[in-house]
Amino acid sequence: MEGRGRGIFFDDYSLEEVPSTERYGLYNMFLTLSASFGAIAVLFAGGVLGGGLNFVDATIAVLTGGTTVLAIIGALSGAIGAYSGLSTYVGWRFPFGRVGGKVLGFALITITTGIGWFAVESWFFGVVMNEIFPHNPFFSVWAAALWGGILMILSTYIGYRALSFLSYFILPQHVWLIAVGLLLAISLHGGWGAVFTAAPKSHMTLTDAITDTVGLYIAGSLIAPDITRFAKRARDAVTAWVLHMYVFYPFLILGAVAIVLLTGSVIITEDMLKLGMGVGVLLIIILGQWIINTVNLYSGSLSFTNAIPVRRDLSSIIVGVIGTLLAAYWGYTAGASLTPFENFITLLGSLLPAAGGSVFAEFYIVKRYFEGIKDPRQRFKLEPGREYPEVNLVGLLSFAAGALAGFFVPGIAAINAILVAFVVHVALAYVFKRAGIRYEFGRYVYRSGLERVVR
Amino acid sequence: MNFHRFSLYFSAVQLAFSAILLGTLQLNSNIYALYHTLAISLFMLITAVLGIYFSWRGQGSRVVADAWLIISIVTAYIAIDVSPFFNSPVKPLELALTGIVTVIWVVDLYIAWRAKLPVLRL
Repeated sequence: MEGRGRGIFFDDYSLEEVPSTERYGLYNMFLTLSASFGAIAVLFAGGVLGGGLNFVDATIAVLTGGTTVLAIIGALSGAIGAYSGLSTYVGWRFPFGRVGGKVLGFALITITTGIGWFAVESWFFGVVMNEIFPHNPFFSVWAAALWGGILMILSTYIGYRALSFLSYFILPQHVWLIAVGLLLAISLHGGWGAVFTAAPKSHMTLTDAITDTVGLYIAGSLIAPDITRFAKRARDAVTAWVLHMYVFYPFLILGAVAIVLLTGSVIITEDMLKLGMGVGVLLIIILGQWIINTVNLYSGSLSFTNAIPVRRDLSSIIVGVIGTLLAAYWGYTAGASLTPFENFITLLGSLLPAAGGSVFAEFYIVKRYFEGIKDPRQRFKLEPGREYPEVNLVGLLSFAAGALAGFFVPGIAAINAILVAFVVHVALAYVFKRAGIRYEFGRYVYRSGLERVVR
Repeated sequence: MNFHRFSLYFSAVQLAFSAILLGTLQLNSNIYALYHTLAISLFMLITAVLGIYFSWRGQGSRVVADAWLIISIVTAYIAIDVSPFFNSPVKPLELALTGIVTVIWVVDLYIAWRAKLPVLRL
């Protein structure tokens, strides 16, 4: 919370470095990062693996492939956030320039996560509410999507403090409810013995399974700095990231795999409803969607503020209202297909890994070895009064190369995109620097955070 | 109000409650209810021991974190345990004990807040 003589507002250091006095420890980081796993949609997404792999293969794919890859990518990305104290998109000003960072942040996060997935999750919230209370107008799809969206906007308005609080109180509760639901569903449908002997209905290769597991959370790994910029130390951010990956991610994904192998669908909420656990199911849905959409909208509001100079708390209202109205519209028109829209935001989201590759190259190689900045705290440092480039050509070219590799090179698309963008960024920066060719264009003077935004 | 002393008392009460719940395990008539009671009593036992240790050492912020965790998990337990699926003869006792545990830790957080400890900042 900040107040500079004009009332109370919650900008959350959207365009500047988080000061050391406002940073949090390992436990807070662990819980807040884990909030991303609050959505029941994670179970549905994980259930896809259960359709094509047996339980042992799924465990191998999740533990050796997906979780480990995501733990490494998120740790690299989270450390950048903790060192710099900057949000993901403000950090992008270094590899892409200010204009590049604005455009990419708006296209890849504001539109996809902030508006798109926020709207999809709000609509889904309305659908599930309507299924539980079918004859109550307050719980009709559009009405529930509307009040659910407003609830989520309120917590995002407050920002990181609200997200932390939700994580302290709601996340452990949510995990307990999901765990009981999963264990009950498994017990009622034959138990663990049946899980290990069950055969999947179709076939999926391990590569496809790892691709799915990585793809499910790659965006969360690359925008980890939105949260880890609040970490006291980089090692807290890295430890929290790795811990939360190995504690919650395999548990939820493999739980979903087990249920799908036994029953053909992720039905823990249905089973719980049949057993009379209406309160538990209600809490799972309300709290889960509340947490995940707060995380979605928080990143959306940060990227919006980076692109358009409006205070972050106001950004959360602007972006959230658009998403909520979209969700209510889908609910009102009952039957409107979300598929084209989901395909569109999935396509945009698939470009994100390429941006991650350029960021890693700039922070860990270009700044460290080509520019000789040994102290990681100084590599992405924005100092008021100093000039910075508007456009970084190397970053934009490497992003384009990574994005193309993600689409056309066979294998795990996200990893291909990151690696190609990383290599191209390093190579181009080296060549340009050796040849003495300028690749950063335009200049702007950085005027610390809130001084620039409209209050 | 001495926050650490209250927290110590509250943790001791919770420790006693968890021992009572462990003692009632055999009275459960339903295997699912038994496992659920076992899980919550072990959780309460561990967090009570942690609470005693943190209060004894005067580590206020860790006591607060422990309090949030207990409130969060115990309320989830209550939300599920009201289901008829978990019916067993000891259910009223379990709900009463876990209800009291929820209340005492809410009071503990209030005392922490009055003692100017950062309740919302772990």
